[in-house]
Amino acid sequence: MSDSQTTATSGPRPLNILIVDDSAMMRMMIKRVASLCEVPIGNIYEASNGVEAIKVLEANDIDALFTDINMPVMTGTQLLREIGKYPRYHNLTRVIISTDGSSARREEVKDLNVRLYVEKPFRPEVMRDVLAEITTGAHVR
Amino acid sequence: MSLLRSLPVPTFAEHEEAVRAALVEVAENSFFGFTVRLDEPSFVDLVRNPPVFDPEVPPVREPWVVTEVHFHGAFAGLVQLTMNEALARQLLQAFLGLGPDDPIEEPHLFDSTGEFANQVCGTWLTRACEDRRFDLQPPAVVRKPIDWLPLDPPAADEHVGQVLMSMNDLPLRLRVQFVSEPA
Repeated sequence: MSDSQTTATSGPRPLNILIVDDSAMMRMMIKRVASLCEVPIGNIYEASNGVEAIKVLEANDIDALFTDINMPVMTGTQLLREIGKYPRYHNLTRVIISTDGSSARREEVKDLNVRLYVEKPFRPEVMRDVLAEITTGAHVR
Repeated sequence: MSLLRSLPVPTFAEHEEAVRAALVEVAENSFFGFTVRLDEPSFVDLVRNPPVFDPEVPPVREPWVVTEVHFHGAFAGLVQLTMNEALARQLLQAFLGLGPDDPIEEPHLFDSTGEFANQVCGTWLTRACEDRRFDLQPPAVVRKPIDWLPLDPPAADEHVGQVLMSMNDLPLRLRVQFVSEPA
């Protein structure tokens, strides 16, 4: 688990985001895109599975959660079900980033308050657009 | 008596083109690579004779990286990707936008091949079986020595097969094995 600070710009309040993926490369890639795009991001936190993610959520003020689905220890679906039990996470923006874009999987998470479902592989500009959308509310895709 | 039901076991031929298409899609979109389909003699030649990118620098033989991802859902099996470390470095550099002189640590090298294999497996299964859910296990990565070559033929089994490609002019082998029970 770690966090880093990116440069905040004027405009909407910078959002603190949590990236949950068992691939350190994917976490690094999302962080890199976040740092390069002109989107107001505050702290970026990382976790490699759902259990770690819950600890980060409990200890920090997180605005947006980006989670993979297939992970060891606790999957992204299990994580979303768990945080769905607590009112304090009601306003947490939930984004799924997964190679599994099947209709069966999308059906499985449709009641888990997921705002965006990003299917891998994606180009970096897709992640930039997702960050812009959740920080400004703009529909850029 | 086992409570597990045996799963249907597809043949490789049923999925060969979908597997190849997923490999190309991931290589191009996530890792910005250029892939070419190879026949077996061309693949063997590329493995045995590394390409010369700089006439003043002799080609260097590299260790091999073998990455496996097990999957299960409507059917089960594993995807195995084999490449040399030169290509693994290129994957990592492309994925993270690193420069040629940026330091590369071995765990990151393995993590990038794992992510590549994970994306290929997930993309293939999503495209091929859009209405079915699959679970993927975390990638397992092993390094093979320089004198090991990925030229062993696949098992003579209709449920096993391979796709031979080059990516950025370096050899890349994708093997798929379907099984009757999840690993």
